[in-house]
Amino acid sequence: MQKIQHYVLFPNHDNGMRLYGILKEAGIKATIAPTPRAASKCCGISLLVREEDLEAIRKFIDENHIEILKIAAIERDINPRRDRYC
Amino acid sequence: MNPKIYFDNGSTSWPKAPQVASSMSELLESGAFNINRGNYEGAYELESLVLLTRMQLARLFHAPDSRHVIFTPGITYSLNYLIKGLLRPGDHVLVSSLEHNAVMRPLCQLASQDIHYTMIPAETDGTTQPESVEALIRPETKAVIMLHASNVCGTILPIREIGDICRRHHLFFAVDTAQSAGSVDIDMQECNIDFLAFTGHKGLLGPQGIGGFLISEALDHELTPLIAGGTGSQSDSLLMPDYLPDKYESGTMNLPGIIGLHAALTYLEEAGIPAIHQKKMELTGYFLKRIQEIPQAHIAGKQTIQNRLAVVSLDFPEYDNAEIAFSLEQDYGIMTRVGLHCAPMAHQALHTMPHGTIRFAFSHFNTTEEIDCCIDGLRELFSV
Repeated sequence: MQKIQHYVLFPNHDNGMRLYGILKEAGIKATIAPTPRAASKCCGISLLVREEDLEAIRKFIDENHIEILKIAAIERDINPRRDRYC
Repeated sequence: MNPKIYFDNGSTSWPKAPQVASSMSELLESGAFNINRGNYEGAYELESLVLLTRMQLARLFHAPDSRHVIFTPGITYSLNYLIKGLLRPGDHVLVSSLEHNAVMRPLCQLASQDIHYTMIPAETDGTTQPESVEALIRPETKAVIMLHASNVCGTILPIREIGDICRRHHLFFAVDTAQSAGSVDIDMQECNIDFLAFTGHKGLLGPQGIGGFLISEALDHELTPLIAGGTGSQSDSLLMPDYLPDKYESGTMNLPGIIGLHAALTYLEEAGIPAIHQKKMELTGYFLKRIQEIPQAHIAGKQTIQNRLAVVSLDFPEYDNAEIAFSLEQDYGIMTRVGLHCAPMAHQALHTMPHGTIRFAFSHFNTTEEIDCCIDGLRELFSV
């Protein structure tokens, strides 16, 4: 089964931590994660978020002047269940 | 043996705020991870504390945004970043007559590159008249760089009025808050400050080795980062990032220092800077009153508590000031700083060059009993 994951990508850690704090306060689930190499050359952090929260997250980004690179939808590369049949 | 009395808070505050030492120790013992590099929860938690500290500093100095808060090892580094990153051959700046060598030495290093300065005159008590600034501005003047309060005599300079002049003449305005941060309110936006240099270890009651600057949008566009290197961001590029704070923060950060400063700022927020300042000024007023009992002592600078901080310089014209400071420490356990305080120009203005003064700088942890001990000691020394 393929799974699409949504990542907010940032130019630097400062912006990532700012948005993380804002989302946490608003009760929106976000997990700090390394930036997927497939999504950006820019190392640093990204926020793994839920698809259903994307609209609200975009609003928070605009309202708080958070600089982001993009919001990327990426297929999950690792599947621990791959080639397991029992 | 007398108990030790610390009156050298102009050099560095002591004691530090509660929790400063324990927070730093806890960090080092429980996981001093590297922020902006490590991809694990412990590093992210520390990043969040660094962000909180930036926000505390942005609130303290009324900055538009915490991204404009840059960490450096201290004010000397901050001022070097400014002076060497901004000025180009042919440029001219104005400085006060009370400047510390943190400004004067970098400026003098640049004299060979056709970069020059003019001093704004000061009166013999350190008072600086803003009206005298405009006549000194030249077409090639780029900035006014000045301390907020003298580290020698505590006189406060009129930064709001001079900030207005800078706004009218389109000059960058840089303020060194070494003595004033943590004592008086400093509003970066109201005073039109483009560059506010701060240190964590004096009035902010944090550890040595951490400080920084706050920078305006306009100055950021003009300032070249003096230090370049890894930032943990935009690592595919060989060029420095042009966004804040990364543009000026290359290399591993002083995490223990920032965590200690965070604890100190939290203490200041809870205790309240106005209350702390009031206590310091009460002690200063008491010292200024009791020092009148020693006819040999001459106060360099302002004689009252008006328009000053809790920094008092004494000169004993008939004696060697160093010998008196030595006796105070040896016989009465009173720690002061004697000499020129890295500010020869200020001593020139105060007419205490080259013999210098003995500086007494109080913190709100000091007491009137400690001042009594000091005055009683001086009375004994001079048999009065």
